[in-house]
Amino acid sequence: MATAFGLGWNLIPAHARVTEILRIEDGSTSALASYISPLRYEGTAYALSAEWLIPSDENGFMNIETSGTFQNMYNPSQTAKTLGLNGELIWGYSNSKKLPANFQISYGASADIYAGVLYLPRNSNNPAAVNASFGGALDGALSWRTHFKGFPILIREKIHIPIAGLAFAPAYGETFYEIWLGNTAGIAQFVWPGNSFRFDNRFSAMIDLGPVAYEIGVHNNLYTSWMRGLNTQVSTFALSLGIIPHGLGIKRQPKASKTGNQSIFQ
Amino acid sequence: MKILKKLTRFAAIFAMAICASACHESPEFKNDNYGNFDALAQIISERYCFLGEKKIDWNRECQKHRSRINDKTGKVELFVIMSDLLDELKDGHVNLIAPFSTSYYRKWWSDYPQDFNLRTLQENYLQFKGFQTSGITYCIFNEEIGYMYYPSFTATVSEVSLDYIFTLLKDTKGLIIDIRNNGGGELTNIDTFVGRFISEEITGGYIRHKTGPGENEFSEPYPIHYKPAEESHVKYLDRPIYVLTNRSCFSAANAFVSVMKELPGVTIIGATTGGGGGLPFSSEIPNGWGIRFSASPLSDAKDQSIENGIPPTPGCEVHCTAEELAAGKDAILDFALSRLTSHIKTQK
Repeated sequence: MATAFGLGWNLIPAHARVTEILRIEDGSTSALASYISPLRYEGTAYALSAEWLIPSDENGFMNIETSGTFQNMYNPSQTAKTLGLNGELIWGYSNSKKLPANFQISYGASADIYAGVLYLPRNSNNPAAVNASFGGALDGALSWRTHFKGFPILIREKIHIPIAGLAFAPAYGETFYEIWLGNTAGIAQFVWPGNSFRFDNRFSAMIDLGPVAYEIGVHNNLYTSWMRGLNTQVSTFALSLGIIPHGLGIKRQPKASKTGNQSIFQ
Repeated sequence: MKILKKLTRFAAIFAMAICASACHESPEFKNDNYGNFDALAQIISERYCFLGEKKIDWNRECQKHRSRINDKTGKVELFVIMSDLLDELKDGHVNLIAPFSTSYYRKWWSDYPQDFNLRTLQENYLQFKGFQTSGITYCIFNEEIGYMYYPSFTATVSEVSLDYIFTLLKDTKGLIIDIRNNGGGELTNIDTFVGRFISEEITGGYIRHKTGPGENEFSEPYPIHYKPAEESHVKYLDRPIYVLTNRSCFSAANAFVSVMKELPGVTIIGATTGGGGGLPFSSEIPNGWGIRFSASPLSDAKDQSIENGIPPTPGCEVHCTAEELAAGKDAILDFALSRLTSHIKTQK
């Protein structure tokens, strides 16, 4: 299964069951980016995301996540539109621990690449606020297995918080023309939660039908930064619908368990 | 156990404190007459780059115009009051953009003679002919003087077009670049042009940006370098170049003149340009009206401000009266042709 993703890492045991979750999201969003406007824009966000959870040893798993979000927002008087586009790639490792009463906790760290742009077409030399960062993040999740009318249900709360890295940060009044000329002094800033705080929270319920599972949940993403005199605050709150093509592996499947085809949720 | 509790509490407070420091309050103004006026006043106060250079007492100007509004002031009247406030900046790069109108400070050119008439040029000098490419009209006068008319830097100049132009003009003994009435456009076009007139890299000017809301919070000047065009391109070197200007040369056209005047063999003829030496930024106020203003000052190779325009080369200030232009005479172009012809004769 692992090589199907072209990963080819020796970390992935041959018997590993990759849990793949594909999602679509739709929700509300707001953005304030003082580089392009002092006003807060509000509107709709649409997102596609995917998550792969790959058991790598008895107590741990590797997670790979990718997402792309599109935002369509208007200023309070509806006279101007801002478009937002951002993408994120996360690659991490978490330890998981079974707790009493069918609870399971996982905690770990990941590498995080994030790039986002807010584009206000009517602006002249400051049409876009660009946020791009690369760094490390903390991951945590708490899940609970239960049943509903005979079907296994997994309730999961998951958070992801970047903690340090490097980010692209133009100065207070710096035009892209000046950056294009080559003035890149200070353009890469060290970021930590004290100057750039991002919090990604996903609460979901998954029902495992065996060969396939479905997920419904809410996804909340907050981003706030205060760097070089520029204030940026972006938040999205979306309803998320997902499909897990090969199921979660928690529906009783005697044959599968005999072959040791282990899910991280088992 | 107590120590663990204390540590946990300390860690929680510390984590909340550092996370809160990334969350910065932004000033919010009401969407009413006073709120919109105050938002506009603050944007200019914090981001406009020439308040200090122009010695504008912004607070005093704001108080003066704010006293004209009240709760019953209508949209159009508010727009007029705000436009009047912005006119105090005396800057052609400043606009207030409402759905029904865009304010525009005109006195930087309307208080001066125009010194140019396109019809006069086309009818009496170009005979309604001339080649055109990349927005440039070009021809050869008297079989030895190259002529280019470039009316707007918004038209992107391609290297290929310049190759054709300078190939056609390669045997001329001098060149006139007429940018009268050029209101500016893309600064990147300056690189494309200037590269044809230099054989080594030059520093043509500097740019700064505001680093904070204070009136004098600016970055160190950053040099703007111009590189010669690549060897594969046709250049125009070691020959006199005359740049024709009038008051309506603004923004990128103004910056182009500030770079060209430093090149050897270049003469600026006509009137002082209109200025516009600040790269504009955009913002908006709570009612959704847009605002555009100078934010990033440009300076010349000696790091002198170009906001108030570039004067012609000493002895080369020339004006055209309206009567002359109506009669088909372009005194600035005549001056350039005459001077260049004399120069060529002395070279022979």
